[in-house]
Amino acid sequence: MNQVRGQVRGQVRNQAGNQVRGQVMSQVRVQVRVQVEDQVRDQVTDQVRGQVEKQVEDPVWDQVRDQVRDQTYNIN
Amino acid sequence: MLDKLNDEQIKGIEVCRDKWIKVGLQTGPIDRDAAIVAANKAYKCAGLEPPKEVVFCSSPLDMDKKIREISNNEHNFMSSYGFANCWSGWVAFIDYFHTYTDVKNLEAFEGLRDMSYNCGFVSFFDTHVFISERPEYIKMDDTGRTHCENGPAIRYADGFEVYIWHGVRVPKKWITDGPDIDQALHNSNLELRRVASEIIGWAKILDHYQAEVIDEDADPQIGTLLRVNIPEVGEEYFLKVLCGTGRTFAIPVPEQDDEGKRIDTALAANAWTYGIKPWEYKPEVRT
Repeated sequence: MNQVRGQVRGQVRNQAGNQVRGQVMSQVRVQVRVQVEDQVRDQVTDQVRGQVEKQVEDPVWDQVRDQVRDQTYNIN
Repeated sequence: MLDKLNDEQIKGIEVCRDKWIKVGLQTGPIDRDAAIVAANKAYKCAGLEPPKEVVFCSSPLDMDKKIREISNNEHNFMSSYGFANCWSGWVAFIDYFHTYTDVKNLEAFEGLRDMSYNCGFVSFFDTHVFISERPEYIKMDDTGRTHCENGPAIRYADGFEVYIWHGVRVPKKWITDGPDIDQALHNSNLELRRVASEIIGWAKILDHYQAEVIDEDADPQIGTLLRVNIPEVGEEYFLKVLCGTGRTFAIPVPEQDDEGKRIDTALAANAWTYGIKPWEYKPEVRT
């Protein structure tokens, strides 16, 4: 771990996450936006994205994330 | 421009939805070799150099510890977690267009898609990517809410656990030992107070606060009408009733029925729970 820390110290200021998730996602969202009518996008949003969020993200990953937050800050 | 979905594309909606629900709820060890390939692809898709180090973490909590340690507390899990199965909704959305339509230029998304298949939570940095294992198990009730009444609903192999009662996160002690009645009913969070009451059971709470009997019907399946003073809540009315399965329940009932008439008998309270008048109450079968 020390070796890793030495390599990374001072190098993690700019998160690649902004690029990997932000840049890529905004890029693909733009493409979808440009190439798809509102009606189709809304249908896929409701029936695919919304359903997955409702059955996966909300009940599971939100709970895991909040538990890490609370445990880190000793809330529970 | 794609302005209408054809029959095949409409059929694909359910297939795509179910596929990503399955991926998003996947448990068990990740394939670390596949995760590294996917991470490199995600960086490449974003026009970046591959990460110098892939740091595997046994759980999101372990990830928080490692990110803090490596970044000298500049970052933590909460500020940096990114794509993977935790955002499977977005992945499903883009994957639908990628798979079932001819919308172009979605190749940049393939790295993130592959990470979702092969990783738990992920945090991306310039030189490092942190990848968490998936949980050992996720338990749910029959409505799809995370729930376990005798242990953690979500557990990671390193011991990180999440205790959840029908979708509401609760302190571990509430599940392992049961909530303390006085503490639970003074909880400032109303949702948690409701959940605590549910875990303890209203029948026990009413005994604890020595509820006063207003009317007791000869038939235990019609029940007993009770009044109780609950701290910081005030005076409440309950019908304590034996159900057809042999268990005793306490159901909150109002002081007055829907027409403003005072509910002063167990029969009236029981009838109210069915939305009928006391004289109409003649159940033939109870389950």
